[in-house]
Amino acid sequence: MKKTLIILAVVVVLAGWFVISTLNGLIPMDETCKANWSQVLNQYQRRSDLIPNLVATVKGYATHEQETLTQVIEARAKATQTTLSPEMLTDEKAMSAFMQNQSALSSALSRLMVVVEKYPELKANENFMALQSQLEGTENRIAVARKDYIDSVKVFNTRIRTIPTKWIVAIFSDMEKKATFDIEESKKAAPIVDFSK
Amino acid sequence: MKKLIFTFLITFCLAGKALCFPALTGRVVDEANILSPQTQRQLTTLLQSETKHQVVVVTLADLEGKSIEDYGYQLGRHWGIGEKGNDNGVLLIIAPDERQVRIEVGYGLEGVLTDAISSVILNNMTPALKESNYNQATLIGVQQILKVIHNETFKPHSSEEVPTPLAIILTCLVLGLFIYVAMAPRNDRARRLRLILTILSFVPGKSGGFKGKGGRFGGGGSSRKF
Repeated sequence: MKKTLIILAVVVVLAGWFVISTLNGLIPMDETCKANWSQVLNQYQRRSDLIPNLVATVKGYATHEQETLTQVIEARAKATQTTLSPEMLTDEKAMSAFMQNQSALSSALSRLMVVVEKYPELKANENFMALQSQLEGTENRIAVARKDYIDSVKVFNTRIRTIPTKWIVAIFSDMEKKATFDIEESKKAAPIVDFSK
Repeated sequence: MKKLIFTFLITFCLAGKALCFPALTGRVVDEANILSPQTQRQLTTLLQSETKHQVVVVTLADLEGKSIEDYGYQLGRHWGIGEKGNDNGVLLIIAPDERQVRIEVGYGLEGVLTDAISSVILNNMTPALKESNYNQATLIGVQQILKVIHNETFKPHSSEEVPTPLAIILTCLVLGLFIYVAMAPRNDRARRLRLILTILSFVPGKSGGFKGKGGRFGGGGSSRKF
């Protein structure tokens, strides 16, 4: 009788220890995902901050491109309206809305960058060249940040859906699978320009 | 033998999807073989004179089908150029076959060596690059990069290393081994000491030379086709 009790106690303690260490192991992964998401937000913000200056510079030279410029401004306004805090990452719908708005802005911007090709004076403007390189750099940072986020979510989601972690999380924790997106999404959204027209 | 290892490495790289990075052999890694020995010496001297930040010149034989932007930050991370915490590393990457050049800037220097400034430096390198004068182009690039970042200072980062559990265990183990020698009978001591020294010789030591210090990269910088 006493022996059974001891064995039972040992089993309970071991099981408890296993549950705690499993949950604790998830925390750093969760934090990495959140940190990487913040980085994605930072870079999108950085792009958004560049746009007013860019639009103002282009306006001075490309007088016939009012429509393209308006599209960029509108897309920017829409993209800045939708935010997604690191705490909301489990919301697939919010994520897809966020990404849709950002990629709409990406397409508007790339249309603008195609249009400016027609204005050699603008392209030679030092201020514009600086803005253009900053925009390119920011697009690249966005790509890197997105990839880092996707990679960290992949690790987290795999772990959280693997048995026995899946069971432990279901019983003891409110952690959920995080929303992710296709890495090529932004590339697909970029318009294909037909120069033959 | 070397060739065998090389072939093995190539197949290994092709088998996995991961990128293959050249070894960080010094501040100038001329994998594409486009820099003269004299230029390499000049570059090394220049780069060594920059003691606060880590700047590395690398020429690549092959981008493995990736864009130079994609390859660049991963190489920077792989090598860990720049100090941990300060992230003050810069890579000047030239891929002569793909005719692309890139300045990859670590997080910490993004504020000084901005995308716009990187782009201007690349502009200044482009005429020489177009003539495939890589020696001149890299010298121009390195001089200008160093000039821009030279006055940027960081707080000296606390480099005290917290002993890891592994380090503690290893230290105990080594101490234990020497106690084992000391406890031995006099006539057996020499044999045991030899045995232990042989074991210890397998423990990888800290090799000298130039190394990355854990700097991070996030895709900052600029690139250009030439």
